[in-house]
Amino acid sequence: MTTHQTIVQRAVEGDERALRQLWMENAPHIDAVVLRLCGDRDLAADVAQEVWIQIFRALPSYRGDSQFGTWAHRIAVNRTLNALRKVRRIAKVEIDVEDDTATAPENPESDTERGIVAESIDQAVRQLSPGARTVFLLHDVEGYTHEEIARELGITTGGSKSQLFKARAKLRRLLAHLAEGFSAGVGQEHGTPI
Amino acid sequence: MALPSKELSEQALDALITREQTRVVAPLTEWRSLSMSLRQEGLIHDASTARQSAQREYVAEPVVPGSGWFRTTARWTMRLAASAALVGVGIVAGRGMTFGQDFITQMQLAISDSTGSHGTSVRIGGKEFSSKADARRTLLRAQTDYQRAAAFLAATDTGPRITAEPDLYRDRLAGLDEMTAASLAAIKDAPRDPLLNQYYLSASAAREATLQQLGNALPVGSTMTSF
Repeated sequence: MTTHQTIVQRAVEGDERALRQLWMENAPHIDAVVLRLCGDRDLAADVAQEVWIQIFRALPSYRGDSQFGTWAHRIAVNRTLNALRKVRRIAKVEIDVEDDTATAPENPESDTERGIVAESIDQAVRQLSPGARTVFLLHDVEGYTHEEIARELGITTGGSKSQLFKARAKLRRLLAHLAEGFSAGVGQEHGTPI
Repeated sequence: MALPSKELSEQALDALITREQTRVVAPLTEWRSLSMSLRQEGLIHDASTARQSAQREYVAEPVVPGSGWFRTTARWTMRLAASAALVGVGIVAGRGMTFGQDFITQMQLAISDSTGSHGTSVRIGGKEFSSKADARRTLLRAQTDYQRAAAFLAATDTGPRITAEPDLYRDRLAGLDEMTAASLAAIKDAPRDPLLNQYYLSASAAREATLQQLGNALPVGSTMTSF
């Protein structure tokens, strides 16, 4: 049995040290997921507490087939979406996603004309509609497929794809001013010329 | 002169997303509040924690030099001293509060009042309780005050820091773990005994305070790898 398996086993048995160790090792990543999806720190703090309780409640079902962090990540996403649904945020998301006419017509010039820019992707994401934001985060950041997103949000895969397209287009406009930094070599993780 | 781009390229956006995927944040929750919830859920078993504490030490890196017979003996001496001191405090407190056979009998009478103590008033040590709920409220208030005071004293400890000997705190923690385990075992036999419950809560509060002090006492650059 590896050290990590031993820690998980001890955590299942209710050993506070083991539970705390799992929390300490994974909270920076798991809580980041919660914060991204909630978009609001106070709400995220409440949800994170629920998420961790759920993770530890489900611990006996963890079989070690994947990394603990990967397994916990799924629970964090599910639980956060449930919590958001409870505060009636997802209700609006689902309407937005299913009914494209509910969204204002896209105007490529509107954001720049209004002078709306974002200093970071995190800031830019907050300016998306709730539907587009959730789909973008789940697909592009958390790695969910459109089919999985459709199941999670109770929407069609087409709706998910459509929202992702709109989200990416808007983000590119909101972050346009960063293009120069990229062409000058700032933040070029992939070395891709812009 | 080239006009500024009106859109970020897809590749640049992907690069930003990759960065976002690896972003971490400071934990949004505190272990203290999370562990309280986990205890309420029954997901933390204190007996398990206490049992394991007897097998493992409170480890910090780098390890403070010093080992052998003297250190082992000193550790156990300090551990026993810590336990004895806490027991002594309890005895003194007990005397101060006129804990005696009369007190225990009165307390048992009050607790065994199956009518819910409506309309029953019991005077103990100069303090009158009109009902069980009244007594519980008083107990809860006292516990909260005690825990806050302990936390305050730990946070504002201006006494001489024993930075060279964090072992003292580790020994105190080990002693407190033993006390917690012992009081918890006793509570299982007598779950409604207020004295035992008070002991358990006091030991838990002292343990949290000592953990804070241990964190402060460790050399700069050291991290607690277990607790």
